[in-house]
Amino acid sequence: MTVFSRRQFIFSCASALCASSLARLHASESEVPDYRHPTARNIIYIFLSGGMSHIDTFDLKPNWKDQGPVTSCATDVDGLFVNALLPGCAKNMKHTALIRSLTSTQGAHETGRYMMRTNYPQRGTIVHPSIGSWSVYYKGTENNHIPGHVVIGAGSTHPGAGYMETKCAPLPIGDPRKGLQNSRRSKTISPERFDKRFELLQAVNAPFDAAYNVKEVRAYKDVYEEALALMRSQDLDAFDVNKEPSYMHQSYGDHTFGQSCLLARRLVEHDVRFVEIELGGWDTHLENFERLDELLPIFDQGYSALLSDLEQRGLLDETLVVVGTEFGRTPALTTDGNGRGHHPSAYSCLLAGGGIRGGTVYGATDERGAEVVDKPVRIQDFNATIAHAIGLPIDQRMYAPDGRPFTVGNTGAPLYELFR
Amino acid sequence: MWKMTETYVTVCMRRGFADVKKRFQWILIIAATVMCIGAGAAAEDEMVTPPVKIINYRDHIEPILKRSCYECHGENKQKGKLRLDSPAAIRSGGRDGAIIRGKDPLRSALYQLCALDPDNEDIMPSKGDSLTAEELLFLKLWIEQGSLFPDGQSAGGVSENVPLNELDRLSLTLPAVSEAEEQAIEALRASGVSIEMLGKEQTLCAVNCSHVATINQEHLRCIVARIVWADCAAPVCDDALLACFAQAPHLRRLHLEKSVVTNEGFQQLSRCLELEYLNISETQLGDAIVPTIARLPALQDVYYHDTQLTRMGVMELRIALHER
Repeated sequence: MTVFSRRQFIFSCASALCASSLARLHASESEVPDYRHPTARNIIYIFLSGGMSHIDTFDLKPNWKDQGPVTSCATDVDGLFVNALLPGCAKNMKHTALIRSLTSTQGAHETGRYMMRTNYPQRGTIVHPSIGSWSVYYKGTENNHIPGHVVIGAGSTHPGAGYMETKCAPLPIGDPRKGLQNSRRSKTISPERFDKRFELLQAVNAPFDAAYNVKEVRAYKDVYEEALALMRSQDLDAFDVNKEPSYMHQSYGDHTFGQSCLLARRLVEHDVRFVEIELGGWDTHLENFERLDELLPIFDQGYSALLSDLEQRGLLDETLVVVGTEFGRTPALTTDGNGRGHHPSAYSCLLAGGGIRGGTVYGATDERGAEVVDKPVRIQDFNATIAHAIGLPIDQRMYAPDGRPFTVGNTGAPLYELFR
Repeated sequence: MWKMTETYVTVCMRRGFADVKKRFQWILIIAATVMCIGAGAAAEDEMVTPPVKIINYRDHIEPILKRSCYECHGENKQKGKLRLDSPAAIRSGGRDGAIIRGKDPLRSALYQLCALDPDNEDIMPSKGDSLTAEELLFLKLWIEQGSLFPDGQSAGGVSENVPLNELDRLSLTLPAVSEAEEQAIEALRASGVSIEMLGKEQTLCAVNCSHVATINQEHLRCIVARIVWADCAAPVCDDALLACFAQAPHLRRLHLEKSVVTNEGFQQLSRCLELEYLNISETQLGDAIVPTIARLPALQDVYYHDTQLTRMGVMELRIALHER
């Protein structure tokens, strides 16, 4: 039964009571205009898995006793300071909106990540689709030869397409340097022979496909067809970062994250709408500062090279770069004085390019960075903002196979102030 | 059903809607007729205005909140950092942000959480009886009517009104998509061209033809007045295709990367008076196009890596764009 069963009951009673003209009048008034004005075409979502410490990165609290050995540096936005280990980010704040007031109730990694990616709390009864899958669901793929949703370096817990059909599912890439593996036709089989084999396969499958036209069977068919389209496509090169000149590799950094950013840029150039990159290791319960000394330069190099490269290619206007994480970290250091725990009630995320009003700082936390004191942003609002940027109908209901209604915005309200 | 109706009348009367009684007399007659002809099963999603017209915070909402919510969201406790015992507190929301969003009950936690299934773990009030159907209806209507407090202020905030952007305004000036255009769009889509409708009235479009081998230019011409954004970043784009796009009066953004457009063909773009963004990277275009670019009045950004433009040409281009 849907959540509105009781309401539906009273409404159907009321419908029977009231004249139908009244009903129509009201229906026409309450119609939500489903229009979209995207400010971006593509999204590159950098997911910092583990929970990035907001207080040591983008929401510094120099007067707080537990700030620790963090030095700050000025950015290209007046009065805005970030960790000195983020010089590239500092130079790109003019393209970036920094949200310092994210707040969530999900204090565990898995549920937090799940909520960030799907906009719904994790439940045992259903798997919700990630925002990238919503994007493919509503907008399809722009380039029919390659998938419209690619996830680089994420683990097996990624919710993917959830209850949606397989064609909305992300294409997972493990190692960006290796690109898409096993995607070329074996040299020992000629194209003609390959086609003949595929025809045979189709002939054998056809009666079954016709008799059992259900989601799971269609999924197999879709996967085969997409794989073949990809195998034959010119765009297979999009997955090959080795086609880039060496100075490009150097500027993004010779590490997996940098190469992932480079791959993401190549994919966006080939009209892949949604690319997610996961960078793990942010769960700094121990040796918080030492770990950040390693992580921040890697993140900074890849992220700022990506922004600069997109800008130079004229793609930054059209590409929203999101930096998200599942929660922040406790402003108070742990008892051994060198670690921070999970802290969902206040944390920071970034949005850059893609029609965002750069140089914005949205919301604020208290003097310790513990609680949001200005303009709280729920995960739903954050995701609704992303959905608004690529022009998804935020309030349009989609029904899962079991009949439950879901929307991409899930009660979230986009932060319109962040857009130009 | 009759029982429900009676309760409803009683509630309304108890709450001081004297006129409702009169109204109900004839509504009941209609209802009886409706039920006789078996139309009792109304369409589920058709929502209907009940007889109550204006919901008033003091008379309808405050009593509900007082009875069901103050215990946990009042003076003594503020679960979820939320208080519901004053208009100011309701406006400022709780730990999860605003509890009323625009005029939309389904996106307003105040209504949404109360309307959940009784066995849902998130339902409010979490203790005691759920709100009755009437109370829910009052909450819903109050939010739909703008959640006004006695001081005339709304709780819904202003951010709900999606600000119109330039494209939205432009889309208002164009006629709705005709049947012929609809067919052209369908045909183009079937051939692999990606077309996305844009703007408040959905009368503008973004066209991406960089992943197709051939394009039916007749179909493209059919919708050319609506094109604001064109992506022809592929060798498929030659002078003939550019001639097509050059007829788009509202073209704002044009991607020509990797195209085979020539210097001569490029001059057709002089008609695109609204062009703001141009990307000619990785083409054979050279200095000969600079005068054409310089005359485009709205142009702001030109991207030109890996072209035949010389340093001299780039400098001229910069001066031309800078003088705006």
